[in-house]
Amino acid sequence: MQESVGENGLNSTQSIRLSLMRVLIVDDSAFDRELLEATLRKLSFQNIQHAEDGAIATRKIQNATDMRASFDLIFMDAQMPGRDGQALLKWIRKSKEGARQLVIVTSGTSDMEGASRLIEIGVNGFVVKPVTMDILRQKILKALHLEAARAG
Amino acid sequence: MRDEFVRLDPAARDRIRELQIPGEADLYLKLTELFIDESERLMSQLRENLGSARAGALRDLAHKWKNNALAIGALRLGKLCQDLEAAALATSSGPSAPDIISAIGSEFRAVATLLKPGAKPNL
Repeated sequence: MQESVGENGLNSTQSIRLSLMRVLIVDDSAFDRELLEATLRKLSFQNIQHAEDGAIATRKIQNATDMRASFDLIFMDAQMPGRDGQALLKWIRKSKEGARQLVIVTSGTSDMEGASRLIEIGVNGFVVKPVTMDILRQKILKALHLEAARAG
Repeated sequence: MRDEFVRLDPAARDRIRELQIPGEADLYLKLTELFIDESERLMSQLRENLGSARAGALRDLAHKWKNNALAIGALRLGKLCQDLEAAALATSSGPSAPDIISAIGSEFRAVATLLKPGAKPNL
């Protein structure tokens, strides 16, 4: 029997799985960070941290790993001053926990060249801004291979 | 002629209201305040970069502002930012960047008043 779906479009198995994940949002726009966090919380996520740029993100990712509480899912803006999305993703993939961490890039443009490079480095998904709950849910479930999660 | 780029699209406000968690601080209010603050900063940076003729920086700033404007429902402002993005890249004719920036400033003031009655954007 198929599980019932909540107002956020998730069944209880999916909601529980997402609620247990540790998430980092990396974006230099406070507006974008708040909007993304609000959308993620509606999708059941509870453990969400922010970083304003790539350098802060690097420190938070390293600290979390040292504390054995590494992030499971990282959202990063493709375009940031200093260490941008590509550079940060490269660093993550070379880091201790980087191979298992899911990384979704948020961007306001469909920059095919930039997207190809990110795919080469190992991005798990893209979300075009402004984010909406429906699109975000689809991208997250796809990245987690949870689309077909069903009870029974 | 109907203007397809409305000043403030109520559908965007409704989308944000759907994200509100009962009992927590008003999300729409928080986002409008962040939008106004970041817009003022972006406007200031646009003016700085206009003088330095850094087309790439101008394009990036316009791009960032466009995303925020669309998220809050300021469609006309978003369209002007998109025009500026295009103008920053173009070498041919079309509206010039200073003219578009001036239009962006006017549109932003109108949007800020709608978002937060009594607001006097610091432009």
